[in-house]
Amino acid sequence: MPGLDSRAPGLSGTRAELDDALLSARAREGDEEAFAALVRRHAPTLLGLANRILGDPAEAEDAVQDAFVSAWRRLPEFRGDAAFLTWMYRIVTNRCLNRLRSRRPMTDLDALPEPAAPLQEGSPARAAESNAALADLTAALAELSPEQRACWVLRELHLLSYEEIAEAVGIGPAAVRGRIFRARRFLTEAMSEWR
Amino acid sequence: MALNADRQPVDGADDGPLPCGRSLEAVWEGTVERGRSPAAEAAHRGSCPHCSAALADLRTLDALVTAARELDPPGGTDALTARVMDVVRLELRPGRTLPLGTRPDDTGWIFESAAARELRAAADGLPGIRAGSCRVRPLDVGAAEVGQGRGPLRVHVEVAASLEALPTAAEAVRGALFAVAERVLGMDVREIDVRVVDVLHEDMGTDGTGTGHGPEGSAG
Amino acid sequence: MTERIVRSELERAAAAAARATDGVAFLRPGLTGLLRAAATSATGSRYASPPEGVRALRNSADGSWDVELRLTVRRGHRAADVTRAVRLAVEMATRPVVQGEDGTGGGQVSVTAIVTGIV
Repeated sequence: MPGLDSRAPGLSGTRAELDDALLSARAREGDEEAFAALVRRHAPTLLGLANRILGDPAEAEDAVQDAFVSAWRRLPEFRGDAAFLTWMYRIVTNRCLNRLRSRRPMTDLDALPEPAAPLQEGSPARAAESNAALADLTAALAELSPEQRACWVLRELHLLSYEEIAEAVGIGPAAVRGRIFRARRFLTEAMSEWR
Repeated sequence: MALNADRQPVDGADDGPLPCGRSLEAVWEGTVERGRSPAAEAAHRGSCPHCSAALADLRTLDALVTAARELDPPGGTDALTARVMDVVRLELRPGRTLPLGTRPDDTGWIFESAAARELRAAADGLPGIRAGSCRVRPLDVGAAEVGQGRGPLRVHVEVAASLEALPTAAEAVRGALFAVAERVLGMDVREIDVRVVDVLHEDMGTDGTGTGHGPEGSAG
Repeated sequence: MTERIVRSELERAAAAAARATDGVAFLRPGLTGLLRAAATSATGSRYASPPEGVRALRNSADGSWDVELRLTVRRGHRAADVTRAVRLAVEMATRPVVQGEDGTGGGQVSVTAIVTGIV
């Protein structure tokens, strides 16, 4: 029975993770250069996450910057039993959700950011279509609740496992599954004209 | 679908089944609801227009998601990294200090983090070795309290070692670190505990010439 | 001279002697340290760790002085040798400051140098 939900496992067991383990052990003991290497390595991913959850590139930069500074200060309590990036996912997601919860609901669609420039391959017409479709997807994402958006983004764009998402968002894995299902249902309906 | 006043999908709202009676979630996830047989379900979903449409919807979304995944992440992060490190470098992290010099009238000290940097760098310089945690402690914790805390020291270092380096890793690391303690620092290190915590694979960490370099040594 | 003047003179002499010592890179960290030191003294905290640099404290018990320096060592110099040389240089430079004191100094200065890094 083919489902569309079989994916590679989350973040564990990669070779980059070993290097992260060494770097975070060093950073925890005050090695600033090791921490800088971790920041350089993971900032793009986390910036992408924050941007998708918050819908605002400037806010996303603030959130990720704060998250890294907070991580540096809290490193002594990071025991290294989970991957450093998993830990950062939790810190960044938590900051983004806090920001969203303190916002008033966005009803002004003009406030949405422009989508990123499309890849250069394919015909210009297809590129334009892809751009518009992604713009619609971005707009639809903005209408999800913060938790739904966070769960969906972490799953679909970052390929985290349900357990990792549960850790990051602070709810149980079953609740994660439910949020993702409802997010998908809303998004498929919103994107139905692109069928 | 039920939406709240802010037009956001409400969690826990009705999960009405598809018109054919199947659960949308089950169809999407490729699972079988309790009480249904997998064989019967496979036959049904293959021919049911509602199930097919539901899967087509999800595939449409999935295609967009794949495109979105390729476009993320956004631009450069150099400025962000620089701002983070500006704050980090200003932070005061006092940490513990270790005695420098072994003469009776020596009064010098060094921060453990500064000593650890030198010790780790020495281990990183060995072929097939990459250092992780490095702590320096009094050799005899009890005695340290009695004196002025200027007694002999013990180093605990963790490393990852390649299969090639593994057999001689502990000895090589010990040798390199004793040399640094004596020549670069002038610290009275009596014992060095080396723990190999993981295996280093060929294409990771060191730059292949056997001279591991610092924290940026990872192959992409 | 008042205690405050002695202290600042001690710190000045100590810093100059340390900077002139072979193998000393700098008394960290420069501008940021000054800013932080300014903030610290504004809050009136006498016992706050100096960010880096020099600090002189008088022992009320016997009137002797403790001078603490934080510095970075230049690579190629053995750290313990540098701290030893700094101690000797600072002792020599600060002795005249506390000698000849009537009542404000016991003439004794003990020097502690702490290495914050090797550059």
